[in-house]
Amino acid sequence: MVELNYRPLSPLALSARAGKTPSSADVHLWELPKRRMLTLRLDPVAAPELVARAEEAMGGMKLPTKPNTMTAYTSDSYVLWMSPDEFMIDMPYEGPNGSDAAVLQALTSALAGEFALVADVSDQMAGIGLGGDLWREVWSKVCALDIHDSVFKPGDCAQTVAAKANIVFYGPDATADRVDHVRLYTRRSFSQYLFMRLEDAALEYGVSLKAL
Amino acid sequence: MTQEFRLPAGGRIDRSELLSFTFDGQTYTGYRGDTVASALLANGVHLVGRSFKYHRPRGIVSAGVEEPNALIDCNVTAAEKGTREANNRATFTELRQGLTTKSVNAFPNLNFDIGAINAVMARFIPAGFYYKSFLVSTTMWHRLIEPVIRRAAGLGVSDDVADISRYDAHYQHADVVIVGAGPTGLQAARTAAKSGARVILVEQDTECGGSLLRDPVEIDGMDADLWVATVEAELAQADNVRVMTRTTLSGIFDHNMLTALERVTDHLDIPEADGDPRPRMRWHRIRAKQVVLATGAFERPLVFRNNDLPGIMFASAVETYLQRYGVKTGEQGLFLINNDMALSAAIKAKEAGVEVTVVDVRSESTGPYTERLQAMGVPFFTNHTLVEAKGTKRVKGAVIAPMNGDGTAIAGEMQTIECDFIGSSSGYNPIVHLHCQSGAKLDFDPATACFVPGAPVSATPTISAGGAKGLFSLNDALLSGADAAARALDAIGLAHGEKTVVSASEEAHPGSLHIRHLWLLPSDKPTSKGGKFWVDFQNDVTAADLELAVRENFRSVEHIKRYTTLGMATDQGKTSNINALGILSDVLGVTIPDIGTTTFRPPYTPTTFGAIAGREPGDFLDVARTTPMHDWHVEHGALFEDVGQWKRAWYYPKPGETMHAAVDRECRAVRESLGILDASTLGKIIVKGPDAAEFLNRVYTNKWMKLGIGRCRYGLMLGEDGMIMDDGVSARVAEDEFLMTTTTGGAAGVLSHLEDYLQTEWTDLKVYLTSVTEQWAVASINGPKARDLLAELCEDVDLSPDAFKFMEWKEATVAGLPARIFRISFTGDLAFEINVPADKGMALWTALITAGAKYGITPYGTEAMHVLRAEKGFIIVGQDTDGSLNPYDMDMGWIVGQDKADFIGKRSLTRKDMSEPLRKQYVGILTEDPKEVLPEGAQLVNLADAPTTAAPKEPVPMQGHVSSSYWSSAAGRSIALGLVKGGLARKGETLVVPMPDGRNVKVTLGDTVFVDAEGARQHG
Repeated sequence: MVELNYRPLSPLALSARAGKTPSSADVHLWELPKRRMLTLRLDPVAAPELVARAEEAMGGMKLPTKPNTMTAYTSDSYVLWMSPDEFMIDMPYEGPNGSDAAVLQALTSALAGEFALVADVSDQMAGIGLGGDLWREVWSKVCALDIHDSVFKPGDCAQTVAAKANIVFYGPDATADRVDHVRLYTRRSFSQYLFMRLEDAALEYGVSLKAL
Repeated sequence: MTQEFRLPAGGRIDRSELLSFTFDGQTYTGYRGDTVASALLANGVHLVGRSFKYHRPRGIVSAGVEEPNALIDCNVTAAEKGTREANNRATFTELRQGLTTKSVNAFPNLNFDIGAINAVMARFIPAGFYYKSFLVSTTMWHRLIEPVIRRAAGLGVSDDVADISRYDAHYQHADVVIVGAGPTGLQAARTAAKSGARVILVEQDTECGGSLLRDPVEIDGMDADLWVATVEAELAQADNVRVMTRTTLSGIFDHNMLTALERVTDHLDIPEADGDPRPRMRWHRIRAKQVVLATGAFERPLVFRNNDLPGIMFASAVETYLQRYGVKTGEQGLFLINNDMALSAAIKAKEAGVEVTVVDVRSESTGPYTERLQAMGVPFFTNHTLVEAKGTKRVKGAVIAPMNGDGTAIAGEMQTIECDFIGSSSGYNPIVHLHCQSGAKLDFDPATACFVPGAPVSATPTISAGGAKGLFSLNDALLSGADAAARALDAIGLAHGEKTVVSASEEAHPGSLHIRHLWLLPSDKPTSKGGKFWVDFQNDVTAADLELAVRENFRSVEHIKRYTTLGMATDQGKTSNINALGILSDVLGVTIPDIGTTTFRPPYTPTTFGAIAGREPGDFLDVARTTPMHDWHVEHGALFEDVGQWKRAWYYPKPGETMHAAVDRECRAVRESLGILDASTLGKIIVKGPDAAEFLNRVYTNKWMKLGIGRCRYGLMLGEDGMIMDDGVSARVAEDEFLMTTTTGGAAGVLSHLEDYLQTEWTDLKVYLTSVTEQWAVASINGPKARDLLAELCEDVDLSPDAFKFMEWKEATVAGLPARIFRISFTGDLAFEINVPADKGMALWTALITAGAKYGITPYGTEAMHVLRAEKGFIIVGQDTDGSLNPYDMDMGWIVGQDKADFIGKRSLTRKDMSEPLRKQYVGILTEDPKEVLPEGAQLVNLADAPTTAAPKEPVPMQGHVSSSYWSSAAGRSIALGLVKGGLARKGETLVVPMPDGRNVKVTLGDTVFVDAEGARQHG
């Protein structure tokens, strides 16, 4: 029987291997569960009224105003700044009140007819978690972006290229002193390559795979 | 061998770890901490190589990276295939247990080298020989120069299999990068560390200390070892500092992008053993805000007759081997010097029990070192020249003589002094390579007779300190290190505390040079007679070669460099360039600064390509993008075709089936019943906003304003040049929203192209774009049974021909999945493209396959897709077009909305040449023999020009070429598409395709549609 949802990293059979890697390793890698991810495009400067409508439709979540930062909510929901007129909304796929598809519908109708774009990209994106004491060493092998504590802080997010894949990433614990693990999102067709590059880069430090 | 030249005690080697290694098949021993060179010298081995051109016997001359002679190949046994490395410097190769090494450029062996005949022939191989050989006959090239002389010249031997080692690459970031961990660099690092700045200290050696490892002078009241250890401990405590030893900073690029090579496992006895996943080397790309160059200085040798004999080395090298490795270079040493500092080596040799003589080219020698040597009873000759070194494979003695006042000729009796080594010093060259790589210039300092760093360039600022700045006194260097770090911190606005001032004992290290520069020591015969004065050891360039180049009227140092090959070997002239400039300045009669220097280029020392490539050769070369249904294709035996980064199913052969048979079977299934294609890879872009229709109207050639919601239209996209760039079907989703599709390979480029126009050209248009290529998985079902299959799985949409017309799309539920169905066709048959969210692609696909079984549903790949569309004459952008074809060329004038106000490429289409009748035009091509399938790329010629032989002498004018060619079962014959000059007006004409086997295949030009010309099938 075919799984109804066949996730992009499914072919790597990570769950089966997860039990066989040492849990004490200095680098941890895991597949993120499917998230509700929405692309939102609007111009907050030219159309501040749309910002208010969008935020209301999102149940009060705010659009970040500072480049490369995010707003974070206790429901494990985030709004990421992607460009001056692009944001990404990242929420649990199945929210506490049923499906977070409700936010997609609310946003779509709130902005209907306006110069704005809302698109569901939940299936388009695949997520990878990277953590452990030496995750920064792994990072230094795949990505040119500086993620030193003094530069990349909790609450920051960025779009960049890692191991030939376009990624969006952030540290999900926005209240921590420092980023101790990150979530990376990439287009699904790049995710196996990216995961294998990260695992390969982590080998020398000891890597543990965590199940979904 | 017994290491008879090893001192009983001393040095930084670990005598508890005896290591054995081989050199040219002979086994020797050394200790942990040795280099191959120090271990060879401990065993009395001086002859280590043959020179590049003349195969002269050569010995170790240095104790560091600048070594021109002692090149060795490592890991040379058959068992070590895949790890062999050519041209390593023995002076920089750490000894490990079991290391195998081999000398270079010697045949059959080092002691009897047949190529040494070249030395006898030397007068016939002058400077610029290679260039002069261009003027001789080609026969000479084929018979002599290529096979014999070029082969005889050369160095090590590369592996003939792929490198099996693992390499890795890192990106690093720092506020201050300090290059060199000698006393200067250490002082800079501790100053920078205290500020809290992110500091990387890079040291190519195995440990910190720099010159202190050779000359351990007391600093700050501590002996050198303790001082270094204290600073290292201080740095280790600071978590803002990273000290990287065994790491060579090899390049400086614009805005302080630095590259560094770290050697991780080469020194380990069993590198890359099982379970050690560390790479052999790491390649670091470092972004630095500020760079402090504390790279120190190289000693340079004096130039005299026969100065290349084994046993003749730098004075500082003699000192290093004594102090660092506990090895004496020989029993009878002659030190030939022109400055105070070099005498330190003579003192240490004397203290080690070596018989020492000093020949000082200066007329007066009065420094503290001189006094000490004279007090020790060392014979001391001032104002003397070394006329000639004696010996063949090892120096045996030196002829010396007094000089005249200006040092241009001998002026007195010659006498011979026995010696088994000569330590020579002509002063010191600051290591300015990185400074120069940054684009900055050099200044000549006459007092120290060397080039020192000039002003840094603003885009790539570096700060030089210590020996690298020409400060040869230890106290000056220590101060300048701290000062450089403070300046670096100032430049990036970081506060720094009090500089730590430390000092060394003046008496122990006077730091004065009192240099007399004599670039070429006078002899009893001119440079062209009776033995050579070597300048560049590695490329065999002599003083006479330089003089010859000048006689042949070369003046620019860059020209002389290339003509003589001076400084162009693997050592890039580290030890030879300044001596050459000195000699040239004498010959040309101009000052050294007026000659200038040659260009310094990265890498500073040779760098393994594998390290630069990191993990990206092999499986990680590129991303292999796969669709949500990929695993199904794999399981069902698909072969894959690369389309951009995508892996697309190419065809699905059954066991034993040929490609031709499989593709034909897939095509027939579509025409006769039902086929299914994974079309997920096509680019999908949401175009949304009040001006979305106007936007499409401008980016496509045809009209879009009036396309109804729920309708689809094919569009052709041109570049500014009017040439076809991409094509695809776009659907109207809402009044203000379209879903555009692009070709698989063109998706990313099209999105950039469109964003570019929105952001720069049409800022008035209110349109947003976003890519949803991978949000959707797409299964395209094609064939007469497509509707029947879909009707079984989709209950909420009326699929009847009148309710769901060709070129319409609808939201629907298919197999219980939320879907968008597009009734569009790239095969010309009845077709539906079903889009579902990507995670559900596999579920959709398997549902279609299961339900389609009764119709013999057949998965087909890109090859069958190409055949099917060719049967209909549909173009494939990039196959039938090549960026030089406009819509008229492709007989697609029907899609050009000439009455539109504008669209990208419109203006270009009005240019005269764009409608020139003899442009290549898109036509169908039918072979006379319907079974003959033309090769794609075949050329067409006029019937009258048909060649009469397989290899005609004269070229035949070409009329065009075949762009697509297949066997078509539906047409019952071969079909081809192609581009022929003026082809649209030549339909019916017979041309000829000359084949490689000499046949002339007759073809007739015709229409591009071979099947169902009226289009009944796709509208059915």
